[in-house]
Amino acid sequence: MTVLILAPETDEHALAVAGRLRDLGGEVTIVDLADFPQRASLSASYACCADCGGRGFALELERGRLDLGEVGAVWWRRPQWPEPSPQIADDGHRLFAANEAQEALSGMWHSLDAFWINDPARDQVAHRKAFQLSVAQDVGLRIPHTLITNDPVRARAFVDQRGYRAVIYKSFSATERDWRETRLLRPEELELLDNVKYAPVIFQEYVEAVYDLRVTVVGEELYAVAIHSQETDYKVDFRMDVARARMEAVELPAEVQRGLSALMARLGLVYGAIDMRLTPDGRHVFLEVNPAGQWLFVEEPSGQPIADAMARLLHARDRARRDVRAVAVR
Amino acid sequence: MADDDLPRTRSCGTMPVHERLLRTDSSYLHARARSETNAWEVEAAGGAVARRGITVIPTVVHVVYRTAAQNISDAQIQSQIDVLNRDFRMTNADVRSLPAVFAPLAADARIEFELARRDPSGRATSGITRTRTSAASFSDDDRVKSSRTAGVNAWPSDRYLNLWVCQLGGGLLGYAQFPGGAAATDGVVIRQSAFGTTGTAAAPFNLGRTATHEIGHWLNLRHVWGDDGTGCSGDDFVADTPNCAGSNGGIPAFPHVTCRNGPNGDLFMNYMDYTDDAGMFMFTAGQVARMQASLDADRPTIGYQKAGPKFKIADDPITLKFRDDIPKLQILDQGIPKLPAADIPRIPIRRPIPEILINPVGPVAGRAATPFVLSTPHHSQAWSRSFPGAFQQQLAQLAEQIGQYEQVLGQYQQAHAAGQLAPADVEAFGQLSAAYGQLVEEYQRLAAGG
Repeated sequence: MTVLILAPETDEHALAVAGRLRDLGGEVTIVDLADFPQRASLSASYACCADCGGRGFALELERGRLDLGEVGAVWWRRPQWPEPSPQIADDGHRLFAANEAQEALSGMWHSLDAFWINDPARDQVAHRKAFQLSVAQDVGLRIPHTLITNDPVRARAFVDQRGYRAVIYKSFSATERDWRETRLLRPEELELLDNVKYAPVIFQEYVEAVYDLRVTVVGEELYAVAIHSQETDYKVDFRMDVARARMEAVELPAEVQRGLSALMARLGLVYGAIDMRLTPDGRHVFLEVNPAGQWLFVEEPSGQPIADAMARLLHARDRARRDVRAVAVR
Repeated sequence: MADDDLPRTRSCGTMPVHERLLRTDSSYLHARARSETNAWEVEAAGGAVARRGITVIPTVVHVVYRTAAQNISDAQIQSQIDVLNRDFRMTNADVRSLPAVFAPLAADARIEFELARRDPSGRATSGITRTRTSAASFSDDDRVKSSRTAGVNAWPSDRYLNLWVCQLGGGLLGYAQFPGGAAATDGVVIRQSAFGTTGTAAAPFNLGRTATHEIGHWLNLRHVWGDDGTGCSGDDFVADTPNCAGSNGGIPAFPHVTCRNGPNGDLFMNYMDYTDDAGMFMFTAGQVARMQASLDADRPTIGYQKAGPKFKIADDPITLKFRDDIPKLQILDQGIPKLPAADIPRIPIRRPIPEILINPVGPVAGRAATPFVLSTPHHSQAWSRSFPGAFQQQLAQLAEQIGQYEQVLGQYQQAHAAGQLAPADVEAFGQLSAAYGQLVEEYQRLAAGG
């Protein structure tokens, strides 16, 4: 059996985990889905009935063939979009080709009998920030007062109620070209609130922080790190100056740990990178969870063995599949 | 080792190769037809091509040698790259000796070359490969382009210009493959003694013009005389080169009248004639349009674009008449969504292919909308200190993009001054100006804040 990691081959996290997996004596293959369909091919073959040959899934990579039946665990680390051939000139045709590759791949992933971190369907749903807030509320986690809207009138009312000095706004996503850090609404930006009508925005009460928390969950293991964002040049969003922020491992109260575990279970996530804030009055406030979040930037300063935890989990579940199949064959 | 077989007259093998491919490769004919159709359409449309800036082409030099002397030095290779970068940018000093009557014809080809910095698998490279061969010499039969025939294989021709440098027999200085041939043989072969300006380079072909000539072919240029022997019916499919009879050798005296092309006669100073290196020093605007059309249609994936030469925010501000318009530049990722992945802030990477700049579509009036989150500026540049490498990259890319805007806006300004802009063009002009202003502001803010 083997572990499959879906990520660009230069992805640092994928490489770190692959290295640990090999140390554990496991087999691992990193596959970059951007190689499809130009540099790699897939084949899913089905016999006419289950008893007359069943089915088989395989990837033909530049470095050889990978039988997906041999894959016991998959890490959905950073799957890329298929890249259509530059030979296709028409943009519409390129999109079509990319979509077709994506369709074929997705269907194949769903058919695999393997352990997933994270299951692609669950991962996709869990990414939705609007949904995360609902689940967090349901499992008893503290969240900021929030309004998601594309109605400028409601946005103004929310700001009016909270005061502009106490409202942050953020986007759901970023593109390579356009991204914005989480920001505190400024008075001069009130005039621009009409632009909310062009795309929904997440408005939230600003949560004062003693420090930010990054909680990395790997299976049953939970690693919390305090990020001393209030000592950096940007206090609203720790990511902006993260390379210079002081960090240290911390212990979360049991109640918060239970809440986060329940959140992960409800979202169907095995892995997640959770952002929280500790307030001056001692509350832990949940902000969001990123099912594809990075951890090396906290692992290094905190000394927490997160890559190791990831490798151990993948290896154990890959082994377990092998044992199950061995029994089935007998 | 002395090369006692040094050619004294120019001889280029491109047309024999062309004829061989027409006979032996059925897809080549179709590709040639497509290429010519496109070149014609571009000409009919007044030379409108997609790449308005400068295209930089990653180049790999394959040195294939039997003797130590043929294993030419890095310096000789660099001297050739330097020549190309002058000739294709019209910064060669000798263009000044062009007779005044021809001066208006000369044009900047807007193409530069650099030794590849990454090999096909992404590893760092000098852009030079060196292969020892058992072959005493090569001919125009493409054997130098394959390791199975004592040569060395091409790098992917959709990403690199392949230049093979070797000993060529039969007095051949070099040959190219026109666009449309097989990728495995796509590129240019140059005799080592006609390559660059130092080392083994030997007069009268020691100014690097053989490569300029052959790369002209590689970008679809024909010989100026039309390859019809000495007749007057052959055409190079370029309107601004005078019709002429046969090739010119040596360094002719001006004027050389043939085919009733007096009083100015042949354009023998053109790179696509057969004179000595010192006698050729210009491309025409028509040839440039043909090369650029070929880049668009035949080599769409090769090279990258960079900014024009002028990047000076302070002393040359463009008037921003339409400052309130917020531009819609659909530059990136057309159609293909990106998965949200990182939770570390994404540094906005700008790729220098602003297609919309080239072909702004009107009307744009009233399209000033931007989503709220993007209509508000960044509140912090703290990331520039946390991620200094990415910050420098961003600054450089912004500068490059600003340079491109300036180039395009300059063209608009000229056209505007000449009264050639339709109302929709004027609106596009305004939109671009606004976008330019925003970029400059962003650059200044970044530079000051970082």
